[in-house]
Amino acid sequence: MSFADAFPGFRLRLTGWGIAYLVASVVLGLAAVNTGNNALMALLGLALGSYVVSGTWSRQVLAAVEATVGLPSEIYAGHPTVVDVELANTSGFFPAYGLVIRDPDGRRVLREFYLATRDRRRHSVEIVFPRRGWHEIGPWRLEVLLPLGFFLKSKILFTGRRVLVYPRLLPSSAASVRRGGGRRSPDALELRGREGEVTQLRDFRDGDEVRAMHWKQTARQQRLVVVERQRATEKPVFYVVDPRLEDPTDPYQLERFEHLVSEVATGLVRRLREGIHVGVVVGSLVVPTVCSIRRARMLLQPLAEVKAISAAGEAPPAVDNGRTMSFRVGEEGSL
Amino acid sequence: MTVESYRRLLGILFLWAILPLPFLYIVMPPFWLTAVAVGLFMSLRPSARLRPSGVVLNLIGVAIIIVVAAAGGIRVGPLRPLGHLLLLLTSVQVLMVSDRRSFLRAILLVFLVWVVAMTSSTHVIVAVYFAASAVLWWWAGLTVHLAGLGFSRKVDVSIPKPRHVVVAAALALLLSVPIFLVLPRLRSPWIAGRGGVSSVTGFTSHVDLAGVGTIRQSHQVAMIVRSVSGESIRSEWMRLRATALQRVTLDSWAPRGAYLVPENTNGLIRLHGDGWRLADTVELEIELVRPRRYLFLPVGTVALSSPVAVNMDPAGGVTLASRVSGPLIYSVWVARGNPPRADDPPTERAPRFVLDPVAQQLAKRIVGGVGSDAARAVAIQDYLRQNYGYSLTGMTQQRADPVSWFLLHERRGHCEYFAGAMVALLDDIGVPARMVAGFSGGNLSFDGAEAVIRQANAHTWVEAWVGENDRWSVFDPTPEGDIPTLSRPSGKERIRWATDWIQSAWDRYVLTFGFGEQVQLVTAMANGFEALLRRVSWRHLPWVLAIVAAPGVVWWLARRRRAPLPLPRRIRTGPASIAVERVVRQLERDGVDVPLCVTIRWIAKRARDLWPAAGAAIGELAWLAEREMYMADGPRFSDRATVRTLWKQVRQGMRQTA
Repeated sequence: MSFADAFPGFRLRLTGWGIAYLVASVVLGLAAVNTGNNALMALLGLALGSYVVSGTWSRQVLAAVEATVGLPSEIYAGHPTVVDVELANTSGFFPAYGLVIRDPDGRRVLREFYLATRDRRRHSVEIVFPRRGWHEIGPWRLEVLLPLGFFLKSKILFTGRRVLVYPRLLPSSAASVRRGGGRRSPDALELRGREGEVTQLRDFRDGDEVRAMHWKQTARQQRLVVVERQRATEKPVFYVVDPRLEDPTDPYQLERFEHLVSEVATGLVRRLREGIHVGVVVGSLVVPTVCSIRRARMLLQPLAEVKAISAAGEAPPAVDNGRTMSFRVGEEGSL
Repeated sequence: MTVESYRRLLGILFLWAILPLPFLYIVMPPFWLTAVAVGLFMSLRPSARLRPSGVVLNLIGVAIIIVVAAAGGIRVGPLRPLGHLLLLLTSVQVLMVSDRRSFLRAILLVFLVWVVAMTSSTHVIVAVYFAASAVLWWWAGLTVHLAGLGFSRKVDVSIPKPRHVVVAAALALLLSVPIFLVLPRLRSPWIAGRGGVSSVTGFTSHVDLAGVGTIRQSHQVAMIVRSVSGESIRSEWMRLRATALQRVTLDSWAPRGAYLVPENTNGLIRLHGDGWRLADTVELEIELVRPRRYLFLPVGTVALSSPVAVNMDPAGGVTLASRVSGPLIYSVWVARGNPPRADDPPTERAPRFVLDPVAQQLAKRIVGGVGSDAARAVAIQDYLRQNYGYSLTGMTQQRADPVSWFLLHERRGHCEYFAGAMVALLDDIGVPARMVAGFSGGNLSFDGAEAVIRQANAHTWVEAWVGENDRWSVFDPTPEGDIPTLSRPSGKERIRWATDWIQSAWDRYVLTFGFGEQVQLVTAMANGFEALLRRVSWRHLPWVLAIVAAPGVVWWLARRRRAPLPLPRRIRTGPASIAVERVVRQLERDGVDVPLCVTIRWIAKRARDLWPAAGAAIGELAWLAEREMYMADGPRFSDRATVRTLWKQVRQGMRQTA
């Protein structure tokens, strides 16, 4: 394994303490050579020996400490994101003291007091992304100062990773969820009733709703029987986000646009959590409806990536197979 | 780390730094007692702080200068007042510590105090102090740096781990040995004097009284004498003579050049002609451990058989014609009864030195009324034996005429002083005399047929020309009790030798280690390497190389990281998931109905309900399994060792619940 593999992005910086130690060693050496005092020679030997041991120790620790970083599947702007960082000391001989991990701006992300040989520790690091869109985490650097702090050695612990940050989710009071959403909305209620043709009666299975029970047949047959119905034809809802702004450079309009995107995302997430079919039209992109929160990425990714354009831009296409709800800055009903 | 912790740590370090000072002459008791008081105060009452005003600090500064000046000590050397000043300044600085910055400033002064204390000590026990100091400084360094990073010892009171500190310090000490050996010994002309004031006993062919200081006894083996016939070795055979030394200056003696080539007949060199029959002699075999220049011959030796060529000097000394490495064994034949005496005539051209007038009067007073030269020599010998004491210490003063200084002032010294003084006194009264260097006595084996002679048995005595008949007669002015004799060592003596040996080794190889020793070391290593090359043939070279390279290859193999397996062969199920499946099987065995489609959390909940003792480990396993299965950026397998440990804990919990 080459040096670059073992120490990616290696940096070495002499600390103030290291400078003082070096100067003291030089003075000690001059005194020893000048006087011929062998006790001074022994002290100088110990000083240089400690220098070598300290350097070797910190180098081995830097090479042996590894980190794995786990990111959550969904990251929302303005919401604390918990990143799972696991530090592992792979060395069988050198324990690690005083590990510090810093982000590219030099801020301390986390620190580890002591990591024994062959030991691993998990940490949770909270990161808040202020805005939606693509962001990069890292590269984070591992700094080793100990044991005696002559040099500050660091390497890149993990290279930068691009993450997509979804729009900020608004609290209920701030989001106008009544528009096209909410538990009392018609499209939500559509799924709650018992509409649809009866297709068959069958035995109860784990997970069936109690409301689907056919009580008469259950009482008659002395076993649980449920009714299976054909689902009523649904009319899915499409949220149409029009990114056209009169002046895309106007900060006020941009801020309103961001809020609008956040509002749409909030509505989307809430509806998907309730199992309602929702689609989205962002600019010229039409994303078909989904009804599971696990597929929210399909809808949230265009919302995370959408950028405001000028008013002369292309208008969102019309959607035929569903009801649409338009969102545009400056229109009535929006911000 | 709180301010109290810093103050307590500094107090401990300060006490440790001044530990050797009470045993040294460098600092006077009031000063080190003050420092001890400050150290104890800081260690025991770290919360009590002193905040003197600027005026008070100025007054303290003036007071320190006055006290140091009043204590004086400049005549002993500048180190004493400087030491006083350093101790008082450090004490004040230590007392003023109120935060990390002031702690770091004060610790530099404490370190300086430690350096002064360390380097002023010459006793061997300082080696132990040195090693312990290395551990303490490493521990302090780690602790202070951890505190500097914002870590507190409250997190874990046993951090840094003592074993880590001890190992690191031991490695640093180990590394310091080769560094100590190779550091250049270039003495600056700014430093006057001859360097170390300590020496060790041992044979020397050049006696220089002006340069001798305190002497430690070295019990390094010089030679072994064996009786070939098995006869017990007698004490009169154990005065082993190297050669006679001629007075060169007032205080130094040197041998004469060895330019005579002795006649070798059938491997035998007869030192006193053919008049002596070997049948009337006893044969001794002498093994010289480190042959230098001279062969040592018992007084009364009539013949010599040497495996190497030798030369002779006019005074009867036998020297090696060439350099010999390794032990040298030679045989000598010593006359029984009246031994032969050296008969080379006194040197007419020998330089004459005028003795101190007071010493001249002393010589006249000693031999007053005595007739013959032999009687005069005996009178001087007896006078020195009775009126002067034997000592190996205190001869550090450099004098223009050490002999007169010994005779008139000090009145104590070692054998070279006694022999030198007797030669000078005899010279003064017109009796030719010379100093003889060699060994005396030794340690007998249990059967008495072997004697071990050590460097501590090195001795000098006197030969005086006391007439044509008596020729060069042997005199020994050293007090009889202090002449090394032939004896069997007791247990107590062996213990004393051991401690002496340690101290002398410390003096010889550490305190006085210099450029000469470095050259010797390099020479010895070169010789050893050469000997190794002679023993190892080219046929064995591959094996030697293989043995040397094996540890490196093993290390490389151990460090080499394994390349990831190709994808099709990789296990797609993580270890934590497998462990959770085992938990499911165990649940089913215990009667829990586990549906076909369940979440990991459902399994963990049922398992925790069933085996509460394994709850924590099951939760951890479930967390790992979820990570393996549901991570956004693909599966991430858990560490097998961790999962194994958790599974053991789960099994243990299951058993406990059962």
